[in-house]
Amino acid sequence: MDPLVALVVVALLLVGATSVGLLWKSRQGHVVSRSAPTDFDFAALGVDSKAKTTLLQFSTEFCSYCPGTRRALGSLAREVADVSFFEYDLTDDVEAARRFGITKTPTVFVIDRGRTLVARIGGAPRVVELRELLAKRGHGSTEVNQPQHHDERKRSHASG
Amino acid sequence: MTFFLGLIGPSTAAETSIGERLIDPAFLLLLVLAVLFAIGALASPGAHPFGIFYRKVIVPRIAPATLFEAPKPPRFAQLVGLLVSGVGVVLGVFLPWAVVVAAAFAFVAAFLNSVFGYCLGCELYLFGQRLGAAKSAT
Repeated sequence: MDPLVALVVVALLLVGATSVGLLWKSRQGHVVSRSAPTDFDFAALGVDSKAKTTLLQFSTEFCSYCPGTRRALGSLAREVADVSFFEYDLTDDVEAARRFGITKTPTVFVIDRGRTLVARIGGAPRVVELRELLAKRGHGSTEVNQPQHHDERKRSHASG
Repeated sequence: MTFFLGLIGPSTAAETSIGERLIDPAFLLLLVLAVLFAIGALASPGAHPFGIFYRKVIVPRIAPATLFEAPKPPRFAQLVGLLVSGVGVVLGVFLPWAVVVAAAFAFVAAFLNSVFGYCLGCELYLFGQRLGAAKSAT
């Protein structure tokens, strides 16, 4: 190959791969709210309806972000009241992956009372966004400067 | 893609013989990479030349590790690398441009992994499983 052509090819590959990487990274882990009703059977995966909010993580053995996500969500569930954490391994269960529409791992479902899907997260979750959602759902927020139920007082402070 | 192939098309005229293509530096380099991917995917991580280098040269110079990554995700990525570079080597015997195309795919995957932390096992495993399941169902 002509050296000049080879250089152009390498430059295109670098620019292309960098763009793809930036795009991929910017889309990882966002909390995406779901309003349309779903008829997922979470009980079949072992999810119970005891907690107000359930975090359900789908994993496989080939997923390098799954162990870290498990640690982060597990500690979040211990820290915030009325939040429970479940993990389901899809490595040998393609049928469940199809049923729940999972194409990549980790994927996290945020579930109301063990029944209703309220949000889903693709990729390693952005915990700040997840905490915001939990605060919006009325869980005692753990962020000292933004307690949800003190909105009124904050507003009066701002105006005064 | 057609533009890409057009770029490298003219220099890959049909006059090269199989012998010439087999001693082409690009072909040999991809062959070496394929062998490295094969060791990473099929043998134990400790048997990989980079693993041996790490153990003999790097480990004695740094603080001992306390956390270890599970071996399955990187081995899956090595397997994908083996498939891509293996296809490139096999096709490269007949089609010179196959070497460049396969190397380009392998480069993009390795670049995304090392620079952005893109994880092939996270993105491709279930996708492949579901593709396979859909095929066997029809």
